[in-house]
Amino acid sequence: MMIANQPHSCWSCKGPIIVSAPFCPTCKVIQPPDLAQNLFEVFALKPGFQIDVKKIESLYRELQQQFHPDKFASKSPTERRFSMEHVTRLNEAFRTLGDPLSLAEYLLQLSGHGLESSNKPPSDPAFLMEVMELREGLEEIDLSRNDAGEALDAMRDDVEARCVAEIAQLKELFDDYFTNNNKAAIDSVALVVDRLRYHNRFLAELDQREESLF
Amino acid sequence: MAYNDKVLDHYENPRNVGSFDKGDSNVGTGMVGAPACGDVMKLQIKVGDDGVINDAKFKTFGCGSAIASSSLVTEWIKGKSLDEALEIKNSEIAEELALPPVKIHCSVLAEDAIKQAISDYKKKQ
Repeated sequence: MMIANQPHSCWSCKGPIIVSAPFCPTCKVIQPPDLAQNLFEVFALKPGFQIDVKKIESLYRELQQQFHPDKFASKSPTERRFSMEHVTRLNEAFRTLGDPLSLAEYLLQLSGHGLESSNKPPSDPAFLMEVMELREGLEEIDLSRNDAGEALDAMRDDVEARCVAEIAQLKELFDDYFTNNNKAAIDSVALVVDRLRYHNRFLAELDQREESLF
Repeated sequence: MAYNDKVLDHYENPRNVGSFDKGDSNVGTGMVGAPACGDVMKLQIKVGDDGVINDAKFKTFGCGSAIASSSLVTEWIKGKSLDEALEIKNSEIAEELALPPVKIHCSVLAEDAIKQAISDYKKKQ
């Protein structure tokens, strides 16, 4: 049986090592990433929605350099593999935490809330009607007209403002969840995340149309 | 992904695209969506005094399978009573269009849309 704080040893020199340490304190050899860690721990952060993107960006660059495969080019195949695994994990962490929607989805996942749970209430019909009207509005923009670019920009501004409002709501809900330990807030998070997904999908569609203009 | 011929046919020549006035008391509107992919589907029925669905329209923003599923059900429900329309199962839609497992949710969406449209109509009576 595994004991929680069972001492681990370095795969190379067999010296003692803390589980998540990236390098062996004795022989300095690179260790595999600790996949039991969550993606916040990759940056030594606590789970939360308030992410200082500038801060994780600089941490990301720092760690990226530390593990960069170029630095291990002359090492053994195992060390090269571990360096790649660290970089992959780092990229995943940066991508996930750096975007509000994927960050919220990841926090939902950590909270144990099933993303596709079938007993989730269906989206509010009034909201779906808004989505439908937005999509119809986008479809009706005549891309052959000179002012099509402006019309697309106006729609983008509209939907981006909706995203900003949803993200502000997510901040409040996660604050309630983490600070006040209000577990019920996570159900509301799931609904806001759904709305953000619809908006993201709309913006992707808008991007496609915009590209066809050029 | 390669689409089945029936899906392609509905996708390229969708039947009954459009809208009815959702305020009309003879019209029932179903609005459903798939948050995971951001698809939205609107299905409307027009019901005669005899309780038979005499017309249906849809508007779907989504993948080919979602469009085909909704297009197909508008054809199926025309001429049916409300109870008969409620019996349509997503598995029948999936089977008719030979939807692959990853697209089954599109047929679920279409079934939900029928149910919602009927329940919206009944609420107005």
